[in-house]
Amino acid sequence: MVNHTYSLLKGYSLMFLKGLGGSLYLTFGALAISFCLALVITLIRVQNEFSGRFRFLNCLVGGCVTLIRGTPALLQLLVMAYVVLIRVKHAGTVAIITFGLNSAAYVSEILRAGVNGINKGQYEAAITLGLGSDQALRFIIMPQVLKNSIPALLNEFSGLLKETALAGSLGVLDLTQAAMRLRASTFQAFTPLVVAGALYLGVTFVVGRLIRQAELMVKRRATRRNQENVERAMQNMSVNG
Amino acid sequence: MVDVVLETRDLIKAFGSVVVLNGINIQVRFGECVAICGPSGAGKSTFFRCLTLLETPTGGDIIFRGESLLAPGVDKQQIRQQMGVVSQQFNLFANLSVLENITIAPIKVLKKSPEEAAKEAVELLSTFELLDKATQYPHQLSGGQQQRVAISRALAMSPAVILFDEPTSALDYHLRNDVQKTIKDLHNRGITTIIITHDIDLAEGVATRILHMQEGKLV
Repeated sequence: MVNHTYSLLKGYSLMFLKGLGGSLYLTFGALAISFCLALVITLIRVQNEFSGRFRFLNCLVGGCVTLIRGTPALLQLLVMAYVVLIRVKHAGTVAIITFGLNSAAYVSEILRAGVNGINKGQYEAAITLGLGSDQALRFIIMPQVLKNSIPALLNEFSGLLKETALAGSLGVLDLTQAAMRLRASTFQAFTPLVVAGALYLGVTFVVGRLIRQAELMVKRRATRRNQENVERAMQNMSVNG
Repeated sequence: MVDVVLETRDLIKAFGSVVVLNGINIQVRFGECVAICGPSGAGKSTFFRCLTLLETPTGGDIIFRGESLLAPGVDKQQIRQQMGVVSQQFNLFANLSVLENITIAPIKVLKKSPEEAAKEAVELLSTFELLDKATQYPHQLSGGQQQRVAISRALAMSPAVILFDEPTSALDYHLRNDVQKTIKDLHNRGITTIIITHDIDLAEGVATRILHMQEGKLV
């Protein structure tokens, strides 16, 4: 049994790697679209909440977010493939756009929850100091929102990675699809599916660790930068008497 | 009239049918320390928010250094740079260290170099005995320390006037005395201050003039 599993893995490792590559390609492609779009949506909604601007756009994006969150991802994928993006021949592109839009709706809600968790007084304090609304959001509000949202965003990443398995319904080669193809050609279900599961788990674990390391690094760097600024300012003071 | 830094003329603020400020007239001269006292619900905080343009008054006018703040086309950002604000909850920026809290506005608004802004911030922190806290974050500070950082942040913009909203409401007896001392020091340095408070002892301890507000009117 062990030998058989080993030989199957050895013989079809390229297939797994291709599947994993496909899943990562779909995930990171969708994530790029999702994050950019979610930031725009969040900025529109936050500006509307804090300063009353963009009322129409706020209603529009609110409606889109509700629509996306209220329908299954598979249905969205099929609608995009066979209705909206019917002229796009590359199924991977259709999948990336669909997952990107779908994820943007969830990420924007995560970021909105992050904004709601921040005391509005900080925004007002920034405004009373003379900062513009955009500057207040960029330097004060959004950095806190992003930092507070990291655990939820990590969760969204892992959800998105798993969701890419739906792309198989358009014939895109992802990890699940690779396992299914191996199952069909080897008549072995257990090993390909378990290996695919382990690879999903491994990627989620590694990305989680990397993000936590990056978080710590940013924190350490900020502390060091602060310390240097204070030391430099004190040196300047002593030089100037 | 030249020495008047801030003036309100028949200032009215209503939320729907509820009139919160009902014709407030006040003149604050350079170097004065004016306290506006009154019970909860008298309209003090709404008055504070109108003065800082966080709320748009329904009627009347606010004149700051001879210029109407409610005139069309007035540059609110420009005006706000000249008004230091220390609010009830201090509202320090949680993602920034003490030093960055003080330097962000001079760098981003007054376009000072980071070195110059840091040097001035260190001087302010030294004045308020907070130099050892420069690299810490707001959540690591006590209420009194946060208050002094908020004052330093306001002073870093070299404002013409500093407005305090309930500066002692969140503080214990000892910290309250510290704040009273700090406001007195500011006044002794010739800085015009307006204090909105229900703490009559604080008002009597620091103010050169005390005004009472009741039901949206100065009485």
